[in-house]
Amino acid sequence: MADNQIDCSLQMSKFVALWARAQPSVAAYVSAAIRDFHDTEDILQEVAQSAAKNFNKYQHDRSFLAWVIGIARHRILKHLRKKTDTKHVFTDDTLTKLATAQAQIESEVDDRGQALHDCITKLPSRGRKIIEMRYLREMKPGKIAEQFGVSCNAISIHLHRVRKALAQCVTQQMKLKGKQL
Amino acid sequence: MIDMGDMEDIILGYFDDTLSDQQFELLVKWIVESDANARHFARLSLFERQVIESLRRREVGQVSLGDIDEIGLDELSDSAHASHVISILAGEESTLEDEEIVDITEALICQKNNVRIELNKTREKLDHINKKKNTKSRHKHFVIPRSFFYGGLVAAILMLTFMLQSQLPDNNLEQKSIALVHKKPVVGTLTNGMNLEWSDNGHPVELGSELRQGNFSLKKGFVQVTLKQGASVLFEAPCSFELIDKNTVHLNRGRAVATVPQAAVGFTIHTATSEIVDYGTEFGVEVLGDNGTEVLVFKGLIELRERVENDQYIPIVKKISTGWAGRVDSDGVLDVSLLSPKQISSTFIRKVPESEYAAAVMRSKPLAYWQFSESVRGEYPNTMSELYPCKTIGDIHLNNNSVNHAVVFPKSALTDSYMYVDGVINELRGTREYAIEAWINPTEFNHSTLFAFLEPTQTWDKDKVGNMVMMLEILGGNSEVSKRHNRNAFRFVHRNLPSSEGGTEIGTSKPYDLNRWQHLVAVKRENEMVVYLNGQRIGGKVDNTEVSIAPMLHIGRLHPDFNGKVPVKDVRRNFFGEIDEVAIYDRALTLDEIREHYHQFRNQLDLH
Repeated sequence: MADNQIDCSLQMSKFVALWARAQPSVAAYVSAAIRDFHDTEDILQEVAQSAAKNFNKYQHDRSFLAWVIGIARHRILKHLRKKTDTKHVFTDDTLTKLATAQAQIESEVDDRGQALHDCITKLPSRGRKIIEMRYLREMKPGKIAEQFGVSCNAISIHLHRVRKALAQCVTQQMKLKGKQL
Repeated sequence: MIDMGDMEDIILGYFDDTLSDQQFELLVKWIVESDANARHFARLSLFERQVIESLRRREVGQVSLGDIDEIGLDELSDSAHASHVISILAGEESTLEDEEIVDITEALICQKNNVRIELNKTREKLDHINKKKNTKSRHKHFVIPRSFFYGGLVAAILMLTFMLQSQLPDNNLEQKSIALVHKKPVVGTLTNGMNLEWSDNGHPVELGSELRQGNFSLKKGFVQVTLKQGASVLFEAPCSFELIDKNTVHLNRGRAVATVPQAAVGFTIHTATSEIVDYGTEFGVEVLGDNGTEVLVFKGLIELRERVENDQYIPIVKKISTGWAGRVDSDGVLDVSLLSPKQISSTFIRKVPESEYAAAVMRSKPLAYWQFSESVRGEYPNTMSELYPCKTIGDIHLNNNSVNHAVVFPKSALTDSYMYVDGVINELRGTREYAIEAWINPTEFNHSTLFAFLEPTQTWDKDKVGNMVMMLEILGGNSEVSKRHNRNAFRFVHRNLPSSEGGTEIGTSKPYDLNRWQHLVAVKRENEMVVYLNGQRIGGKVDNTEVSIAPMLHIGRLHPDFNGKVPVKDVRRNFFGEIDEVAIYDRALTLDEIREHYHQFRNQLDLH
């Protein structure tokens, strides 16, 4: 392998490792600003591509997450300008504030994937069904309510409860994991 | 005060799109209220996202890997690696060790082409599997960059073109090429230029030449092209552009200023990132180093659109109006901002300079530049912008030189002639640096004011004269001030605070001449004041004060008439002679600039 190929390869491997760590925070940031699941995924892909393409411009003494969230912010703003029909849109100032906040809580990102998996499994079937409809089938609460023949408000309340239950469950699981370690 | 429990409900409501406008406003207010609130929102966003990804992994994650087994790992060894990496990029997996990532990435880098092909295969197979399973998961694929696809397409077209051409006899091909060039339609006319030099010598340089559809690269100078539909576009070197049709231009790099009459409304400039559509206006466009585009609207309205794939353009700002700028960077990010008068006057050169001297002055970006080549309704326009036209009182007029005009301050019965800028020059407020440049041709030795910055008359006391910030004068006669300095010297005074006495005063070592054009520049730098005559320093003093107010500018007399009264002679100080090419700057001109300006003018002194 030629030297420049090795350099390129090392650069890319560095990028992939950094991106893997930053991705959950970037994804959280993007999905908080863009409420459409598909658009969120598109933007995430664009951010990953743009960050990879411009990785040579990243200053390694600075936070990679802050840098890449900056790219995400630009992409979000661009997207929101095109989507003029979006009902609730954060302003640039709010997005900047949230970008800073997301970068500040970087150290709090932990590997709760397994814990979440276990907690979802433990959910009552109705609760699990509702969050699957919400997140996998991408249905709004109103649509879910139609399916269950209940009010939209009832579904919203149920979703809130499920989320809170999941959060408590994950916290307990992580504490347990910590004790085991 | 909002209860935290209520706010969490609002945040979750936001995630579910069930908020009212009022609740959303409340949420935004709460987020920006404190860093702690923003972090709390960020934490909930993170958890929300983790729930989504966890659910997706449950449904999709195992499917992709499991079904790859069904397809056969041998067949998919590279692409399975690729799909792992892609999963990481998409956030589906985070279980690989760094070393493993390095291995995979190297495989990707070294076998780029193969992997891309394999990626496509993988994607097709996963799509097939997903269809079978009726999963609705979208966007879980790695998109091959469109640029790669289009690059390939372009390469294929070029290759095909080459293959076709290589089958033609050479002379036949040449004839065909010539025929093609000649078939290109005429889309415009070269209507003005200065010091024009194309990179390609084949393009015409004579005024009135027809310009055909095609690419142009301007190496030096300025060129103005008037398109057939009526839009006039001034290009400033270095610049490359393509004339597309009678109402469309593509600007590849550099700067252009378009003036669009009503008949050409809809005139369009394309750049790498944008499309600017005109609604009858004057605007400047610059393609920046990173391929971003900046647009300044001097008059009227434009629509700025962002370029997306396949040369499609989408509107991003409906209209940008007079005095506003829009900028689209290479990532398509847009900023729209209100321009300061300084930005309007000094960002673009909006008319073809009349001479090399004028081009040199314009490149130094003066706040205002009066060339005195024409009078419009008794006013002399500022070449750099609509701001600060120069008005006249009395018998000021253009000289009789048909080649190079200048304003004459005559000695006659109407000795109280002078020029002034209506209003104050705000850009000078607070600056420690400024410069005044002009060509002067005095006809009498007397103590007279060439240029003065004064307190606005509105601040003057009823029966008092105004205070001065700056005076640039010639001395002579028997005035008390003249007696303090060398005979017939120049006098440059700067006063902070504005006053009718004191300040820092320079009397130059060299005198001025009568009936001879002289290049005079007075420069106030951070720490000194200097006077230059014909490119040579003839006096200087230390001064580190600023201009504390936005002053008025007077030319040819110190004080204006006030309360209907002509001031006493001592504060009139009328100048007799001619003045030309006056420029004021809100920064200090460098010696190199001063000398360049002087020599450019010397080179064309025959005009005088």
